[in-house]
Amino acid sequence: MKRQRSLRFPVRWLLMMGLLVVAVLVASAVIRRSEAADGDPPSPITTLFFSHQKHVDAGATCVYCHPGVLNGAVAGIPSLEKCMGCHQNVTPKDEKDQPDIDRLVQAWEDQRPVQWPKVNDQPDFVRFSHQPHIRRGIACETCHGNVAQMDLAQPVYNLNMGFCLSCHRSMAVDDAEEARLVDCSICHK
Amino acid sequence: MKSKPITRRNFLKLSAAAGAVAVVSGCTVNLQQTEYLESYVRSPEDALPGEDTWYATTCRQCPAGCGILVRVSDGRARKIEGNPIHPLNRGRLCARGHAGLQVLYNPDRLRSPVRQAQRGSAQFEPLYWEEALQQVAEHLASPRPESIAFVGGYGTTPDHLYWLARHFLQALGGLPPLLFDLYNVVDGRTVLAQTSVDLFGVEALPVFDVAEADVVFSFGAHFLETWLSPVAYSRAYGWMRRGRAGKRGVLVHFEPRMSMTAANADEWVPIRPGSEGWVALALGKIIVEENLGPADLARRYAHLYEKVDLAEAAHVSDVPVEKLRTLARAFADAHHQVAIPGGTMAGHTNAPQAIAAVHALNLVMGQVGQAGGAFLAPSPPFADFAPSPVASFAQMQDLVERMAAGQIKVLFIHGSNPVLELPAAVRFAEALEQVPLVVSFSSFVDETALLADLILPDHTYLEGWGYQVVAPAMDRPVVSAQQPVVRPLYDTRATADVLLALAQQLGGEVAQALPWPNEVAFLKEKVAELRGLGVSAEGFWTAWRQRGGWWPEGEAREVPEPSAAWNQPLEGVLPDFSGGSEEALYLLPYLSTALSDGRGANQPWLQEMPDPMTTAAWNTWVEINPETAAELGVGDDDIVRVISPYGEIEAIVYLYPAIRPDTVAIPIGQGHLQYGRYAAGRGSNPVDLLAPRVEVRSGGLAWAATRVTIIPTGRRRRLARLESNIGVEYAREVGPPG
Repeated sequence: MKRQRSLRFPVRWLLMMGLLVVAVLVASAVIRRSEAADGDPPSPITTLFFSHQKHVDAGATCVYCHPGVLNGAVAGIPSLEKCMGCHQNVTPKDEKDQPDIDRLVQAWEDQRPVQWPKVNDQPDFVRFSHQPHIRRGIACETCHGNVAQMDLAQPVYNLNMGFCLSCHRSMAVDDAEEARLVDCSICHK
Repeated sequence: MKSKPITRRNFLKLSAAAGAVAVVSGCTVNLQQTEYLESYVRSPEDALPGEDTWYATTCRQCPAGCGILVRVSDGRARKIEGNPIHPLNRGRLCARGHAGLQVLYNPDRLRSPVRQAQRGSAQFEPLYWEEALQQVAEHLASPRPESIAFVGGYGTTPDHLYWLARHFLQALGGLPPLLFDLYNVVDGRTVLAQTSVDLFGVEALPVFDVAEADVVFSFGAHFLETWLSPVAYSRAYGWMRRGRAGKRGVLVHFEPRMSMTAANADEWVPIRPGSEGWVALALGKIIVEENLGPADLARRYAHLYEKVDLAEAAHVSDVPVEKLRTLARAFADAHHQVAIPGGTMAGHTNAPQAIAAVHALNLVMGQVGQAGGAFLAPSPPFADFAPSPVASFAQMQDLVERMAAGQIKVLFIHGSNPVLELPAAVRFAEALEQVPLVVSFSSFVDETALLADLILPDHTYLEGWGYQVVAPAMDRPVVSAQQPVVRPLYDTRATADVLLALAQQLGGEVAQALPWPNEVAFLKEKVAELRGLGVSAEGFWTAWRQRGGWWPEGEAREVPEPSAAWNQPLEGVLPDFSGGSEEALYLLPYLSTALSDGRGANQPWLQEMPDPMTTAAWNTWVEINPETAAELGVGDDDIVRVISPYGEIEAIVYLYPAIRPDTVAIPIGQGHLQYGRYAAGRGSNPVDLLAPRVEVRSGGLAWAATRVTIIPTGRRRRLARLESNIGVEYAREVGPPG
């Protein structure tokens, strides 16, 4: 009997797998493209070099750019408007920084937001607010390290439950406050 | 090696494996992604990163004026809810209110002022504001008296803008601004207010204490859907039904078609179109004759029913005398009963007499000014805070005549779309051609804006300032505040600021008449009149924005005083219809629950919201009784031509057993040629069919006074609807139930 000509099992299997994977990739690409429909605001700029050290040296305090810590949960990042508040007048000490500032000015003129990589974060199940910590007089460096000495902000401490608890334990003035500060529900949603 | 055929088992194995690969690869990619924060270009005021702010403002999706709270986080409006302390809606909100975000974020919004070199070409050229203002100012220099007109929409043009436009036009010698839109026409706002003047001597809309009533007789009032203040009435209705321990109010609804309000009623009485007044007269006659109500009132008001003949009323309304007697006894046999004259009766030529007959029922039962009875809408005790007047259809016709005669040189249009909303027979679009400069302030290119020379887009209501004197307010007067909840998304400008800038450019008397530097200064000065003793202007301004408006703490109902008109006997007047032979069908257009008069058609949430009775969406249908459809030889999903002497449209047949066989109903709201991607080219506009008939007393449009004929086209199109067609098809085969 003549054998039927057809692809053998493993070949066929691999081919179908390949086709399916390609289909999934194409579909996801199409979906991503269609998300960026016309008329959306201009896409953000993702790479703009920013040195914390230079800004602190120039006299900016942490809360000047991150005032959210005084009143709310999140520190926030400054708007381009705030950046331009200084940069339309201030020239950099180091001429090498000028191209980055030019790009900032361009972004402002294009009304295009800038994306910054997130450095510190808490998981969604944690209820954290800056405000009570700042009110208690805890310095920014206590958790974020000496950002004033960093060019590129880096996480210094592992901001995990042990980190929080060690401080909550040691700072409590009496047993009652300690009991409150180590209660699960004070941090966990 | 033997090749393995692809069996079902193998296929499933492969699919599972491929799926797993896809999921795993997807996850890995996501895990490696760095999270990015996006900076504001300009940070909104009061924005606290990661924290929500709730701003109190006023809904503008219909003329009711409900208070809303908008959740704003990171400078973006995210969710609209009812304002719990607002006396009108008390935290409740309807679907149209919730969809307001889609006005703000609509992709078809105009993003800057534009010029259209040739009207109707849809070729828009962006302009700078200064350029645009310059062009308008040139046309306004040395105008002839009464050559400038302003058409607004009631509820869409905020009250402060109405007053500012009035000052502006007065200084220029123009006509007073006209507020006209289809929503208010179908609500019967002008005829209801005019009847209040005739019967109670006050120009105010009637309001009804449905919440405390034991029996409610609704004469075509769609108070659970669209009529006047549907959220406030729905809340009251909920209380009437099950808010009071051991008491469940009864609702009877009279209308040729089963609307959603009718469907909620204990009894729906399908009366002949335009016979609401006759039913009310018959009920009153029976109450007086059988002495069912308070004896003194029966004696005092017996003369009202001298001319009423029960048999004739039964014949006109198509409700047997015995049935009328049962209903009259049910109405009278309660502590608190109220009869509501609604929108559908206001669309007939006999509206004033019919509304009077319904009010008379409240009068003979002693329910005028009583708990669970009828009141008048209270107004704030300040002369400047009367509700803005709504223009009647007759006034619009007058304007169209002036336009056609070339008397109007500049026409401003804000928050109204007369090209779509006036019957085609009025020929508004043709008259527009005779106006040298047409300026629209629309946020979208609607049918009227398409015929404008300039479009100077106003902010949407979530970005703009204003206030609205709520009409009808229910248990106390309310002035509802409107404030921006987000920064304007685009290069739009408040129309009030445009008028102020124009006044400055024109200089002289006009600039003197409008001395305010900007919209907010005008608004602050205006609302400062509302502040009480010992409250600073700034303090009031803060409270005004925080609370969402002004209202007294306690109830302040307005009790109507019957006027001398009640000394005359009431008369039944037959409704008059235009068009078609005697065999033609009565046309009953109604406001779509979702799209209302068409202004919601550009919001996809509303487009996809099924009609509560037919479950249909995204199109225009004509509701036909299966008996009538059988005679016409049409069935579900057939496309038919609906023809009146004034126009013709196509619509898809929806077999509706809950409509009288002599009546067809078509929802208003679709039929846009423009108005963005979600609205344009969808369905048809039943207003095109209407005869331009005026109800004589109030000058209102008799929008239910047209008869139509229906002709099959032989084409079919499946109507998008939630319910299955299967049951309906079966019903067609076996005939109507019973």
